[in-house]
Amino acid sequence: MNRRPLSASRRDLLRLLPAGLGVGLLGGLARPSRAAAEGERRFLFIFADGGWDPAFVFHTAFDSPYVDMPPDGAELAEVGDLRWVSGPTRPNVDAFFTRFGDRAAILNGVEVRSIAHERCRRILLTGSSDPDSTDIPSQIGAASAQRLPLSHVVISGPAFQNATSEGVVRIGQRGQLAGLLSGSCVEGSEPIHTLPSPSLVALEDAYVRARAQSLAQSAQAGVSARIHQGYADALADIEAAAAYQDVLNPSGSDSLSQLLGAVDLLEAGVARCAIVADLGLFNGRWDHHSEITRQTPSFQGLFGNLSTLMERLTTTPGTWGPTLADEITVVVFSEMGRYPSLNQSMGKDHWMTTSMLFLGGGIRGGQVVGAYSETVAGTPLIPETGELDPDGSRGGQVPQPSQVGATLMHLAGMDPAEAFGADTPPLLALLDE
Amino acid sequence: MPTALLLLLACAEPPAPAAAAPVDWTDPTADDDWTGLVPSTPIAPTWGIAEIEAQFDLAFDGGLPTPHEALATYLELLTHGDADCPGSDFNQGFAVFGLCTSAEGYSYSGAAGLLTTDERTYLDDGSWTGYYSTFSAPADYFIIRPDGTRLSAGGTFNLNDGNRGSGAEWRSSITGTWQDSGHDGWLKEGYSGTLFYDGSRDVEGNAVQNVRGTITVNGVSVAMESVRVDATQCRTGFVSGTFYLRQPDTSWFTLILPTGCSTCGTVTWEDGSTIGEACLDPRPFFSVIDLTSTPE
Amino acid sequence: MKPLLLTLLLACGGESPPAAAPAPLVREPLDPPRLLRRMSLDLRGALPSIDELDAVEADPSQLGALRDAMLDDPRFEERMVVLYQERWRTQTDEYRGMYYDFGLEMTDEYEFLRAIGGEPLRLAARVVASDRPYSDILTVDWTMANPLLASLFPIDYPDGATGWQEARYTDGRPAAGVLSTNGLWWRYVSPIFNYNRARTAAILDLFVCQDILTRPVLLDTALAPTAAGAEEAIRSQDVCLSCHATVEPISATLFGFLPEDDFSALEMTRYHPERERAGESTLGVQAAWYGQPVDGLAGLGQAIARDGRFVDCAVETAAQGLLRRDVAAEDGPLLREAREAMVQSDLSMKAALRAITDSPIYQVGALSGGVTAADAARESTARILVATQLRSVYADLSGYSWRRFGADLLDSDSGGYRVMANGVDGESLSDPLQAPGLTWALVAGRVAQTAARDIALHDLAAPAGEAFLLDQVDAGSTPADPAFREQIAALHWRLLAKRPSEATIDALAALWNEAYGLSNNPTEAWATVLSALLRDPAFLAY
Repeated sequence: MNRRPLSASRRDLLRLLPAGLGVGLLGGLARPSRAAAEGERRFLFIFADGGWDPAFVFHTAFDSPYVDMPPDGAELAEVGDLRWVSGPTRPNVDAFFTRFGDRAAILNGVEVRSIAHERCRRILLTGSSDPDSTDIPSQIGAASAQRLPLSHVVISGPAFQNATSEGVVRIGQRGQLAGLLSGSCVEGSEPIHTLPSPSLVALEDAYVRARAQSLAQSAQAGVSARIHQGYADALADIEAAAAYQDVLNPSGSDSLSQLLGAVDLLEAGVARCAIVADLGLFNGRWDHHSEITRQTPSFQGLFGNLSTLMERLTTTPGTWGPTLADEITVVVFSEMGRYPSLNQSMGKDHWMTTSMLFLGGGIRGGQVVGAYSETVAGTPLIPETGELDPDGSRGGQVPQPSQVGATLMHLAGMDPAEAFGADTPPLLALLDE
Repeated sequence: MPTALLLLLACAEPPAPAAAAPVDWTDPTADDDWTGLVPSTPIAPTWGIAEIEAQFDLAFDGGLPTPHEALATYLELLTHGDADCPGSDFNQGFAVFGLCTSAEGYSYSGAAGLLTTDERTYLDDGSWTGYYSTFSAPADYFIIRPDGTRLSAGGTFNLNDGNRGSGAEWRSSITGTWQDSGHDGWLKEGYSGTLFYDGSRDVEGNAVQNVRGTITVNGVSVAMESVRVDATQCRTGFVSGTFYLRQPDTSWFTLILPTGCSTCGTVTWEDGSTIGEACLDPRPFFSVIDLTSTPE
Repeated sequence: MKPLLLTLLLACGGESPPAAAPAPLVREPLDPPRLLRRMSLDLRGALPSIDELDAVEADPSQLGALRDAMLDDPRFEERMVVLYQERWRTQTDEYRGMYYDFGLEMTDEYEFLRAIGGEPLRLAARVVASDRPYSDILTVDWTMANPLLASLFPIDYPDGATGWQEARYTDGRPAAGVLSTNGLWWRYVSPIFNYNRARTAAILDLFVCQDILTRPVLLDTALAPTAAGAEEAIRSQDVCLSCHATVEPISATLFGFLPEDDFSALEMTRYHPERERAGESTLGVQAAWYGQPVDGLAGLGQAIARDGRFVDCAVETAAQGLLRRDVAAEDGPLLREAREAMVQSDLSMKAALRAITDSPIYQVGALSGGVTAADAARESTARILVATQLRSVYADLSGYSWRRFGADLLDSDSGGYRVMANGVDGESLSDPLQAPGLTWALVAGRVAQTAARDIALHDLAAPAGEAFLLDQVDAGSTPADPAFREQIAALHWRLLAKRPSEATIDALAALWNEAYGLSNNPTEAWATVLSALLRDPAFLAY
């Protein structure tokens, strides 16, 4: 997706910043207030890296001859129309759904059509297996009515950009971005490196920006022009991002710190989308081909974090909605599911059907949409209503990642047909419309 | 048909020239003559019977790897740890990311544990049915003694005993890579492989055992199928067995023992040609013929 | 009928008006100095010297000879390591085995990671740089190792040697080039019950450019998902056989590398010859390459090397690395020429590289004629320097490096800037991004600022003849000195391969003056000028 030409709003923003602002400045400058555009939703993606086992939380397959359920006394739990797998060794799951189930919707039976990690990550995030596809968060971020310096922030986890990377910003696994902005990146460097003074940096910045703009305006249309224009835009983005250094450095590299850091960014309105990876127990990821019981502490940790996250969202006033939970949509997913039965190592191998969890803004909570068939495939459903259509006689479809992408784009005020075509209806059953 | 209509049909606009087809730059038929650059290289046997027998001896002289020795060594080394290192009892094991040293000077690193399952039902006469098993969960660690020798483990072992009273029966396995420089025999040399045992013993104490799998010990790689020793039926040889021996250039010999009670069989090469007759020493197999492990 | 036919023929005689042919696309090449710069960056990871630039400016016909010399330059092999990393992606920041499994310290971690992931890349780079037949990468009985790697793996490293050397494993693994390296299989792991299928997918992708993972996996919803069901489906269901009929026989050759515990460094370190035979019996197939029976892993390597697609893929990999984009149908003539050159020269990759760098598609600097939107989006009229390129360019310029806790920050991700500056990390980013973004510009900027200060500090205090770049001025030089403007011009020429106009020199001199006015320090002033040039779009793009 190509970036739009330099817009008037961006020029306005640059005029707001005092001349000579160098990225070496720390504080001393009130950052421009950036209210989120009225009604413009923001999105937080939480990616459980490795392939979670839906049978531990989402897939209540207690009567299935094929599914090995968690061996910890798991049983069915229900609150209203919401049903989940409850286990005595995973109390955080119960606590979450009991407290925030009315803001949560489970989507079961999503068909990924691959069982390779890299491929599935791409399919889940972009809605496509096309190697040139761009992920949904990047597209949503770029479609913001405001020109955001960090339209989509990758705090951790995957991101897929076509040749386009404008607006997609990686924080770095240890928050390296903040250090680059502030200049603290040279601390502890081997050999010792130093940076110029802020005034010299500002002088140099002005020269380089002028050069970049000059070449962008004179470059012939094509790759050269895109590179030069992109560089000019990137330099401008650095200027804008510098004012938000304090929220660009999560307090820690653990999942919860990164999640709360993402909320800071979304709350500040400096980003529209963010993604954080949850690496499970001991950061060992979720790819448990042996000892599937390790999913228990991983889910316990994840849902503990989700409770903390929702507590923050539901108690923080929003910009245009009552709370941040009304403005921010949280999508929790993993790239695949796990094979229904145990293997010889007491683990589970890959499976091409999985579940997703949606929270917060725009989501019709307290429900489960979709289902697994007896053979643990996805069940066709009517996307508008969520009604199951097991034999497909009423035109139902098995939920696809492309439909999830269309749903999120719809929620973001975009036309999903432009990205996915008219044959990919959004799952309106998930939405509170 | 009226001439005018025919003229119209005949004089219709010729079709626009087809767009040039994309250049087909791949050539899967490989008509280039460079294929001769990588000729296949058939490998010939370089070992004779004497060397083949010597290689088998080298593989088995240190004894057959068993999970029992690995487990015993591990449990002994675990007794030299303490609450600080390697830490609290984690499935009769530990999880140390990095290295720690106990007060006795033993160092531990990695992840180790045991999963024991006791499904025995005791009978009035003291015998029991069911099974008792010990399974590594996991075995990915090394333990260093104060003298510098170390046990290194990467794999799995399983000891499964059943049905005492009517004799005994068992299934055991040891897979992966195991070495203990402070031990002796196969464990000192180091073992890589996938060995599986299943056997039984009657009330008179006569045992029979089947062995299958693969080993590399002392640099010699052997694979085994349907190897059977029976202390009642044949005390001097193998009831059956097929052995494969690897030549260092990656080719394999096959030795098939005739069924009955034998120690010698015909050796053939990969192309089916006969090398000769070679004999195996069955004693290493008899020395581990009884692999019960559970205390009565 | 005959008279009617004659009538028709006569009536339809005469020529129809021809359809207007579209104007052809014209690829205008870069001017010779900038083209030399592009070749030098792509083939050596370094800027051309002033002597080389002067030579090409005076006589553009020198370009070919200079390019050929680059292929024999010691830096060429190192550049090939980076090129292959961008395609093979073996250098990640995380493997199942950890540095502490080998008794190393945390400060050794970076070198540990790069030694392991570098092994297959360096084997390929050595084959290419020493102009051996490219098929050697799958058939030789040696690998590449440095002293660290030789201490980790069972490798016989040459006595008294240093650095990366050809060496041999001592654990009986077959002669199969990179297919027998730990570095490849530490990156492309296989849990035991995957039976090497994921590794087979990697082989098909990396060496014959067949990405089978793009094929959708469709579930037969009537098939019960039992453990036996999955293995049975692989062998009998059409929807599975479309891939597995090819995959299983290849996977059968890799069982010597199949670990019982894929998290065990011990298991992953050694080859397991005893397990070789288990492949065919476990998978129920005969080892084969696309229906051609093979004798183990060595046979597989030979079979792949004989496959025409192997050469096609080699050429495609090289072209992607040099064009800095995916190849397209319009690149057909270039690819065919390069393939022909390679085939006619006993599979010399250097011959292919010559053909690629000689082609208008590589040399393009601007487009004219009938330029479609697709042409404009595709043709690499410019590329940007990504993290690993910045690293080698600065190292070559001045020995610059930026490390923390032993890790090179332009070549690592967990604490560094490789992915942030558009590099390939082997996990989350599989293609180097070619569009500038905020983090890329920020990293490039900080590297420029720190390197510029290092160079200025060094050069203005260095004895004559030892300056890296500022060799015509000293700390006492002022803008009034004739050498001042000559120095700026020389910097511009060396770094950008462009002769600056007087207006440009004026602008840089004014920058120097302003910087001096702010700092009252000529070193800071020169550092500012230098940094501005190192952040110039014409430096960062090529």
